[in-house]
Amino acid sequence: MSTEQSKSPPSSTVARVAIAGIVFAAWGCASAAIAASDVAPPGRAIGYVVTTIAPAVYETTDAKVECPNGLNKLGPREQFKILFPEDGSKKWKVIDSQLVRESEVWFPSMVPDQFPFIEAIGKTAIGLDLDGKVKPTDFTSPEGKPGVDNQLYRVIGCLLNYRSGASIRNSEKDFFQNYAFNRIFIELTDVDSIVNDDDVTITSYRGLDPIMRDAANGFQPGGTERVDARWGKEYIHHAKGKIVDGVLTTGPMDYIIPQQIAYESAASSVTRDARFELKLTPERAEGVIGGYADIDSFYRRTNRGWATHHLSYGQQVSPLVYRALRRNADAYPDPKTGENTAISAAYSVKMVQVRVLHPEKEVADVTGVQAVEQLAEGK
Amino acid sequence: MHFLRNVLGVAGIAFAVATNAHASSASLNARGLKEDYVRAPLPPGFQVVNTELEGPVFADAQGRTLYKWPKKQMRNGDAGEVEEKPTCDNHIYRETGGYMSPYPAGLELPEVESRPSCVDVWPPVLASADAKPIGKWKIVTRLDGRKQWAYGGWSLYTSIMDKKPGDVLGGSAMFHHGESAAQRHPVGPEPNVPPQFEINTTMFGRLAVLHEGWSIYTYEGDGRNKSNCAGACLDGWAPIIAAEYARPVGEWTTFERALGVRQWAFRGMPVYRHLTDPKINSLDGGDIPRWHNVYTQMAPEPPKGFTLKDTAVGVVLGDSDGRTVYQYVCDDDAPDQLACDHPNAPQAYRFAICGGGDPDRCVKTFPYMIAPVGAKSGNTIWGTMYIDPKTGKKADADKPGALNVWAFRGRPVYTYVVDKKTYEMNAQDWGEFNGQRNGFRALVYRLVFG
Repeated sequence: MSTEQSKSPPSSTVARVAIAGIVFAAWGCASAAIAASDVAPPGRAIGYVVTTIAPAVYETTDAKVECPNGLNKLGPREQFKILFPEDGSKKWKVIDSQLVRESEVWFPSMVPDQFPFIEAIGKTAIGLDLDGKVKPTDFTSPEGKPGVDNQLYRVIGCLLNYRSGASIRNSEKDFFQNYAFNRIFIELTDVDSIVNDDDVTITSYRGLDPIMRDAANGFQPGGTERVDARWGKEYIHHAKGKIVDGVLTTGPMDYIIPQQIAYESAASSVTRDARFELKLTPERAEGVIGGYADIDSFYRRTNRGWATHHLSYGQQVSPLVYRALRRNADAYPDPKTGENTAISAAYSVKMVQVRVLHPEKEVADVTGVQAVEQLAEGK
Repeated sequence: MHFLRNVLGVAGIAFAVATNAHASSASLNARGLKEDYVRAPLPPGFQVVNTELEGPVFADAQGRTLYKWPKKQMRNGDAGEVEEKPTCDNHIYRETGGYMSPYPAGLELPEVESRPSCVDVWPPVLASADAKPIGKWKIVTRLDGRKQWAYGGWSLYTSIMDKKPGDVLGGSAMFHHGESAAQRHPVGPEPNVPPQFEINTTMFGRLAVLHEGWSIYTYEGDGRNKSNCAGACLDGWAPIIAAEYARPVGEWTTFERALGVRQWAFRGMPVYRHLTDPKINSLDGGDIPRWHNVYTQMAPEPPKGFTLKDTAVGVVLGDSDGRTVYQYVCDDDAPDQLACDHPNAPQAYRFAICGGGDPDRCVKTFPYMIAPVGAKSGNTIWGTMYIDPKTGKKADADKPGALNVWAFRGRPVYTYVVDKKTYEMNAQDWGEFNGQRNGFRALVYRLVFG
């Protein structure tokens, strides 16, 4: 038996997970006391793994307010039938029909076609004020905050695929939760309190562990996430933030959202200047991530993950969406053309607490254990 | 050191460093070693050829690899064959079959005037009148009444893409995805392994796994037929125990690791399972120093100048600058499911996806990987060919504008103009149905996530 064997990751990981579990079980049992006494989490750090994340869509009953003319109804399948009718009048060729339609997905033109695209209207949208200004195009949040920057909502608000109950939205949620590629989490460090702390650091990561669930398949706090320091480097970003009355707000950072769905696809989209606004508890975090979605990566992510077949379920025609994204883009102008390359966006997000295991150190370290011991001793 | 070891953990390392001066555990994966297979009787005129990527395959007397065409369920119906019922015939299909939603059947196929029939591309392996079945080799009757060889029930064909013994260009055991067409697979003899092991084709080589799919490993700290993994080592590694009735099979033997407890060994080295491998066919255990996955034979390395690099999905092939290397995937939508992924096939599919129908835009968006003049790969998997970029088809070397390009399994490979950083693979899944029907897919050597 060589000495390196005793240091092999499996055994140490097991030990680390076990100790981390003990640490957080103790902290979790005392969570009410923590909230009341406003103390630091173990090691002055707390992690939250993302359980659901989706573009934020403010929905009214039957979409009457935001889509008074209804949702988009002519999807890829319907448009194809109109453009290439099977009435015997003409023999259609693959090269002039199917391949033209598919090539437009990957090389969308800015020239409008004959089909309309319905954008969301109304004054209300979920999101954040990204620029500190109240502009005519801005929305007001459902809670009444003005200046909400979320032009992505105009683009997707009347597309069935992005609304609650849609098959793609539900599938994407399932795939996000179940595929290891999609495991992203945040860690807050330098935390003296998750109720009030004017200086914390937020770091985004990709993780290597599944989300802990209970017997009813619900997500449970107290799990662990090992940092994916090798394959997930592009997901690591930092920003500063503060916690006021249990709500975390952060400064801007790039945020990468992975998407692996069935059929082994694997794509990510980039959100520039992403800011987090999350209500924190020792067990969970929930709120909004606002930022500027890079249009090309957002668009590619959609089409790499979902084929025209899938998008047809929600009457989503990719080139029409692309033109709408470009029309409503409001940030990151191209230095050469001046055209905006990003669009303000908001994602609704839910997270559950995890202990973060960093590869370069034992996580259930002395500091963490001491914190629990001190807590138990009432110090 | 073995080239697999060199690519793990560090991005963008060239393949050049390859030799392994380490212990026997690693050298059992040495190049030049070939996979053993079960020597079952063959009908006259057939042989087994050891191929560089797919391992041992059956071939006809001329050395042409034999293939089967199993039925596959697609979005709108099934294509392919069921056992003992050959359907690949000389009918020339002119229209799509409508297998792939949302497009309807009945669209005229590209280059329809010169479109071959199924048997033009996949000649059936015909049986003579006096042929006799033997073992899993059976004789089935074609729709035209002629007799055809079948193996394990699957009717057998050769591919017109294969030109010499060892070529397996018509199909592969790899690259089958959820939305892929009903593709052809090479057919070969059973690997000569004990029942609890299997062999899978991978880009690194023929990977030995347990029957359930879990990878097996060897340890440099072990001796020949001697395990030194004990105590804490066993927290991470489980010896593969041999049952009392187990007997040696080919290169697989057993030894007594403790009183009355026997462990399997491959080429004399004890084998283990890595207990924290997150998925089957994993290479994760090989990241741990002195531990190695087990291969019955190694695959050829890509040509000099290619790199392996870490990305968000795992280890992917890159060019000399680390840009992701893609292969183009295409099968048409006719009932015979002919491939359109190579330069002899209609290029309209690829031009639509790589350049909106414009060949010039294709070259700018998905540039061919240019090969140095006179470049040789030294194997049958990688090669070069001259391509006319205006047509996408093969060209003579002296044709003006012709490009000398690298090809993997007889198909050109590409990079994507948007990829800048080594971890980027922005064209993965690019094209129809996640790039699995008409599109681009990265050459992934190690899929960690997925």
